[in-house]
Amino acid sequence: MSKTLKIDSTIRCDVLIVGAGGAGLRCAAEILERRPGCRIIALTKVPHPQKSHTSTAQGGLAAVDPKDPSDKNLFHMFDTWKGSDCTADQNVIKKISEASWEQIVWLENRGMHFSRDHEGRLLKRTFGGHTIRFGESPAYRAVFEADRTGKGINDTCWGETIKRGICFMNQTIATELLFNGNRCVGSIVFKQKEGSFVRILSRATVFATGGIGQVFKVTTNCRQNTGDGLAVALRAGFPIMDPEAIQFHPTGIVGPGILASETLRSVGGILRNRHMEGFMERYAPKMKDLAPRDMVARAIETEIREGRGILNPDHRIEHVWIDLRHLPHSVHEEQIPEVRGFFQKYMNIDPKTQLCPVRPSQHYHMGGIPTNEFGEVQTAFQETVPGFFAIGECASASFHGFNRLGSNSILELITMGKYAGERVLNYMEDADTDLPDEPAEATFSQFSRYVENRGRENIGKIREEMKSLMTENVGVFRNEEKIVRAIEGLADLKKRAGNIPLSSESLIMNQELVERWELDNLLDLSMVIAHASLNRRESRGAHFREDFPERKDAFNHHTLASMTEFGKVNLGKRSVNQCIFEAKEKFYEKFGIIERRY
Amino acid sequence: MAITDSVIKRLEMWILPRLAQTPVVSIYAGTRGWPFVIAWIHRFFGILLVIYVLFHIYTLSFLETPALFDHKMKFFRFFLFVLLEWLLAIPVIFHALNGSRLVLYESFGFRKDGLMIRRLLGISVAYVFFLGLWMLLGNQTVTPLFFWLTVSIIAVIPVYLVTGKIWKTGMPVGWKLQRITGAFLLISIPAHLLFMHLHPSIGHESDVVIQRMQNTFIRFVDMALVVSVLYHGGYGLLAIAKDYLESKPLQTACAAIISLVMTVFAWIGIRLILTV
Amino acid sequence: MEENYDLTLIIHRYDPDTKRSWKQTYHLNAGRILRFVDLFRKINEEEDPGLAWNSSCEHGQCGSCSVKINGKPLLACELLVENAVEYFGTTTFEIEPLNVAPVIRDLVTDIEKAYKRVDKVKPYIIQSAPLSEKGEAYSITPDEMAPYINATRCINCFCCASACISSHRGFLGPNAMLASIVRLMDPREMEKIERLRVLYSDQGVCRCHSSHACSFVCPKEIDVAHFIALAKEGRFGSKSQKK
Ligand SMILES: Cc1cc2nc3c(=O)[nH]c(=O)nc-3n(C[C@H](O)[C@H](O)[C@H](O)COP(=O)(O)OP(=O)(O)OC[C@H]3O[C@@H](n4cnc5c(N)ncnc54)[C@H](O)[C@@H]3O)c2cc1C
Ligand code: HEM
Ligand code: HEM
Ligand code: SF4
Ligand code: F3S
Ligand code: FES
Repeated sequence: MSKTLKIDSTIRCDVLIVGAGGAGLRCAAEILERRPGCRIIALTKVPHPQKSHTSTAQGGLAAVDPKDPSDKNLFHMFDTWKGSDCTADQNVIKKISEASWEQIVWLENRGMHFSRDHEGRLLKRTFGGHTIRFGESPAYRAVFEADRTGKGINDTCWGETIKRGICFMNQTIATELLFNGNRCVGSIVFKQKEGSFVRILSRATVFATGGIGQVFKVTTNCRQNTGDGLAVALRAGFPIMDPEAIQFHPTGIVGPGILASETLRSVGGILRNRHMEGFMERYAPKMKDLAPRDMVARAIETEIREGRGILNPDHRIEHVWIDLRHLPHSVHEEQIPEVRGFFQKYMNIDPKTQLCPVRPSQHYHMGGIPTNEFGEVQTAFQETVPGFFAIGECASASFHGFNRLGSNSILELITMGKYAGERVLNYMEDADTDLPDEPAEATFSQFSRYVENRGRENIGKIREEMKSLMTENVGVFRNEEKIVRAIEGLADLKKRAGNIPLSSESLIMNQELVERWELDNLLDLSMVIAHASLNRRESRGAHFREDFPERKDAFNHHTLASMTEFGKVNLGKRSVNQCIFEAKEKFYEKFGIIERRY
Repeated sequence: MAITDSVIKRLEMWILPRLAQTPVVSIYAGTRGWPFVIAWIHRFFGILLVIYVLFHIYTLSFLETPALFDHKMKFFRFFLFVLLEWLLAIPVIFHALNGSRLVLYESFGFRKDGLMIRRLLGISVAYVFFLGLWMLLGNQTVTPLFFWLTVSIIAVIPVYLVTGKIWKTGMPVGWKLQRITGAFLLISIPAHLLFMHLHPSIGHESDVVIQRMQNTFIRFVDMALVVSVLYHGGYGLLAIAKDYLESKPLQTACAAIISLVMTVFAWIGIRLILTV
Repeated sequence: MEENYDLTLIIHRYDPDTKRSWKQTYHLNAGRILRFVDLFRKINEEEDPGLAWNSSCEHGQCGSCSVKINGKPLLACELLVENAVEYFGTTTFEIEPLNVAPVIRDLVTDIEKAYKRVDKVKPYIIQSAPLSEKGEAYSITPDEMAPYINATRCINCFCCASACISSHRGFLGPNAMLASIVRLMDPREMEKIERLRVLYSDQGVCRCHSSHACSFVCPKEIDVAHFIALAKEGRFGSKSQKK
């Protein structure tokens, strides 16, 4: 190889934030607000923080308005607990729920353009699973900014950070964590635009790298959600908590994977297979198309698996139809205009006269880097790691347990962002940064391997094969046989990935090189997901095992999966915090191990 | 207006698709929209007019030696030049009306842009047609004083309205002055053109011109004309230049050159008005 | 309706190592509803893994994938093959990076540099209006929001800046001005003078020629020219005005 990789420079800062989506930006804003002049460097993989994935969240964020006479934080906590299938941590639930409204006001005061009612107050809408009085009736709990709530959050937090002076490094990836003893002291980063490696030494490091959607064939997530943060943490020896807890949305639009919201079914849309049969009748004779998300997702998946799906010739994706043709004109125009727009824009289909192709899409990862309720990262032995924090979708505190309620995720971003920010400041009081001895060996051996590899494989092709493998075998339906097949397949793909030649050795904006790195991350993560899924011999929340369709008390704990060598996964446990239940206050019994029935 | 609009709409339905197939226009109409194409035409005609005016002032300067002037003006009796003079009406009226459309859109909140474009095209065609008719007839007489008095009174109206509307805004003074001079030119230039074609001798014979220019009011009008046109054109050129020059020093240099050229021509023009 | 198209993509390429630019032609057969980002991916998978291009959300929400196709700035993730063939009346497409900032490689523009112009207008509340009660949200009615709510939908894709007749040399550009105008219209913002100073500066609204290309190309269908004209009209006060 012609080039030897080297560190171009070393930069020192107070806080390094890896990932500038909603979580990372909110955390930075909190730190800067409390300590003006604090030197923060925030990395993004995308060209600019505004392009982060948070910008695409549409629906809203849950928060209980203290002025609301009917709603209470307790109800929100209950819904979240129940939704999580009794696997969320109650200390986290309590902390987030109680801070929620304050965070909404924080955003509003700083310029987010929330939708309003006629008196000028924040408008609220209802979301699946959000109820008042423990399931009695739907709660109007989600504040929102039209269909672009995530964009509002991302833009507002970004504005606050540039207002107070932050340093962004865009199109820069963190490839390796640096430690001094057990203390995290920064990261090696690769600046794609310049093609240079830089060592960033920081007194605290916060990971907020977002989701893992690209593990699957159809996902609502963005192209950059390749689980880098998780993979980097894994390689540094950290566990991933609940990697198997992956949420699928039943109806993603084939191709771009955009959500075709539940509304389609609630206004009367009917799911049909290739024989035009309204198949939901067979799965849920009573509720039919209005059955809960996971049930619908499983039904669609079964239809496809049993050969009653339709193959989209262009995207080469199997799907079923959602039939909206019988709905009156007014419903199309007034109740589902956005989703209709999506079908028109991305599929050239008019739902008024044509069938629309949908299929379950990966939507959210409940699992992630394990942290406590302050966003401090924990090791496999549940010791906190000084100087290392994780927040947002890449972290698992765990607020969502095994199933996330709609509108709870972006609430988590901003509250955990804030808490972690506070904690970072406290931590920095007594942390100093020494230069670690180790050079960036891991990164360099990884990257020079990529450049030196020879063979006839293609990154894109292997990635597509991996996505199919994971979708078919570790997707909506899982069973032992399939997961084992996936594990074998992944090992094979990892081997084949060693035969990918790069067309250019250049380091500057070499998309191929970064995609090669991402492929490794995806493969590593898939492996961990597969192993954790195999080990959890029960069904819980979004994790569904055909061979073990019931939830089991023996599994009332989180999974902690570590993997320092590809394919060798160590599985540990973390107990579920039940502090609300244990406090024995009024209604505490609602927070026991309850059934998740709607 | 309803009938003309429908006629114009029909014309438009005939013209637009054809226009949209012409090489350069097709690229821009499809990728940036018609107003963008029009902005380019406006710009192109603006530059054309600046060149014309500079040339015009240069030829007028021969008025100091009337024989030479008449000799030069003989050219304009050739059919080809008469045709060119007539065609000059196209940039004049198009730029004038489109300029006022822009002023209406920007400063008066007039948002029916499609309608405005249609009207501007309609009026332009009518203007050019009638001007040609005039030129063919070529024997009207009207006293210059009466004509210019009327035109000046009319021209004051848009100047007054535009000034009142934009003066208090925070826009740069130079920009405001360009709009205000534009408002003045809107009436006075098409009128100038019209007047010069009421009768061939009005515009082309030195003794007729010189005699007319003895009148103080006419001199005043000419002066207003030359100053506004040169300011307006100069600012316009600078605005265009700034779109292409990034560095501040280059912009300043460009501003200096344009100011110099415009001042020289203004001086030539004013001296002529005062001395003839 | 055809099911497949034989397409010719002429892609402008640039190699930062050798500083070489060239046009490369790719022939590919693609389904009717593939989007241009899918085509780029296809090229990466089947022909040329080295072709660099940008995207993130891939459903028109982030503005990372803007390129010029046959001269029109647009989001590559929103353009279906079938629609492109119909719109441009050809199966040959010339694809260039946006020209709002230097190109890094192939179709990737250094958008961060273009964003400098947005940063200049301070896209946040500089000085917030007093609240009736601390810890409360402001009260703003939908009617009060209606005049500017559309402008808040901008995703900074820079398509408008790329299409604008006024180029982008030293000019704030339509989207940056829009970001400032949003805050000028936002009742929560007190600091109007500083904003107006930037907006009415030599790089601001006076450089706009109302060519309306911004409104024409905006993938979010924001009537950008309308908002700029509001500034020209002096709707937000003048810079010398007292608070
Ligand atoms: C279509 C859609 C709709 C949704 N709607 C809702 C909703 O209505 N309500 C709700 O609550 N939730 C919703 N969600 C979920 C929610 O949007 C996400 O969970 C959330 O945005 C994640 O935010 P984040 O800050 O953790 O990560 P992101 O916003 O994904 O940001 C990650 C950041 O990390 C950077 N990064 C990644 N890897 C690296 C690396 N190696 N080095 C450096 N930087 C890196 C990225 O560039 C990016 O800046 C939705 C999700 C989708 C896909
Ligand atoms: C007849 C009445 C006229 C009106 C109403 C008028 C109006 C305008 C307006 C409003 C503009 C600004 C457009 C923009 O923002 O780019 C403009 C630009 C310009 N005008 Fe005029 N104008 C007139 C006559 C003239 C004349 C006689 C000349 C030539 C000397 C001229 C030369 C220019 C030039 C060069 C520009 C710059 C074009 C550009 O920036 O693209 N205009 N005019
Ligand atoms: C072909 C048609 C034209 C003819 C025959 C013509 C003729 C003349 C004449 C004879 C004068 C002398 C002053 C006077 O008589 O009042 C004059 C002055 C002037 N004309 Fe024209 N003109 C024509 C078109 C235009 C156009 C299109 C413009 C503007 C774009 C213009 C701008 C001026 C100006 C600014 C003056 C004053 C110059 C000075 O006195 O120094 N003319 N024109
Ligand atoms: S105004 Fe429209 S075109 Fe311009 S950046 Fe915003 S979204 Fe893109
Ligand atoms: S395209 Fe440019 S010229 Fe003005 S109206 Fe839009 S900013
Ligand atoms: S990739 Fe986000 S807008 Fe196209």
